[in-house]
Amino acid sequence: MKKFLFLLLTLIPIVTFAQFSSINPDTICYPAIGNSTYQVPNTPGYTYTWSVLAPGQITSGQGTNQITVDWSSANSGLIVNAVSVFATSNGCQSTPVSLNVFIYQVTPVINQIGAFCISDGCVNLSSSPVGGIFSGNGVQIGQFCPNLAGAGTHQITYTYQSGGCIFTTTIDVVVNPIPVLSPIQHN
Amino acid sequence: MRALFFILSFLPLVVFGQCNGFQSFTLNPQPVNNQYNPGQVVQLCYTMVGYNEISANWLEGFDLTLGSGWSNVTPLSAPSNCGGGGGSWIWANSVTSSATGNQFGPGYFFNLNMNDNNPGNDFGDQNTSNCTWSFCLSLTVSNSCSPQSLLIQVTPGGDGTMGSWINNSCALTPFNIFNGTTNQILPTIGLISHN
Repeated sequence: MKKFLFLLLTLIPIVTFAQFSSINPDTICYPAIGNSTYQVPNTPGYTYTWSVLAPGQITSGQGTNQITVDWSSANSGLIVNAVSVFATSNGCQSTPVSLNVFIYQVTPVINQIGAFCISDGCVNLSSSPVGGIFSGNGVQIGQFCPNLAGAGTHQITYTYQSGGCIFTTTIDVVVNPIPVLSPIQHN
Repeated sequence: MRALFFILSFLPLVVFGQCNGFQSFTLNPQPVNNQYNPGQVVQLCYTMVGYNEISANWLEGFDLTLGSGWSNVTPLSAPSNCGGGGGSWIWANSVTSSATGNQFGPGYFFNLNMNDNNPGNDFGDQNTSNCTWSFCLSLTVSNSCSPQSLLIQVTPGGDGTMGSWINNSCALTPFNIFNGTTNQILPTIGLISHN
């Protein structure tokens, strides 16, 4: 019984279906990676004719109720009526339906800090837009602590999430060791 | 009898008479809102009882008039030879009367001389005893997105009009069966969804 229950629970995630939304515009994270899928409800006997504004490219599915589109060459911004489709049946044509596509880009910035001495105290990290998360060696709750990082060059990453997209940026921070003097020599 | 009329027919006679008998029909399926859908197949069965043979006009044919919304017509069953004097009813897309030079068809026409397959150069089917002529057709609605005429008319004609008889006193009176249109069905699609 225990084994059966385990098997059942293991299989459940496999039958999860991809979620589709009809929210207009469709938001694509910049830079677009991979293909986006667009579809309309299928009616047997209909032939579907899709058009996509450049630089978008249909990579599969023309003639059917579902296509995939490559937006990798698109710059950021709103593309009005980026995806359109009409159906043909018995020589009759439907009214076309269109969808806008918004290529969404945010360029986060971390205000440069350093260089530091390893003995320096923690300093606040600042960035724009606010609301993201800092990570990296020596980073602790929005602060950079040279003494935690240690001497060397450290990469700090800022991750900002918005509109279902993830944007990141990095800076390098230098932490210098305390100079070590040799004992004073005398004759 | 017909020889006697041949002599009398040289007298001036320019009055056209109504020769058609009682006509009826069935359409299967029946139209909805006076319309049929694109691609739909409709069966028409038509019957005429009797034919008033004015000036010895024998029944020569049933000329079919179809609107542009019909893409195909298929004959299913032909009328039977009622007069019994030889010949048979055949389906013809085009018949030219040797008497009038007028062209008819498509439709069912009586071909007396079976050797030439030409109903237009001979006599019709004589109404010997209150004959009943029936035929059935299959009609297909065209795939068109703009409304098209689905007119169906059957025009019975005597052999003086459609065949080779010397007198055309029987008027050509179309019998209206249907005067509807194709149903305009535009495809509809829902919103575009994306993942």
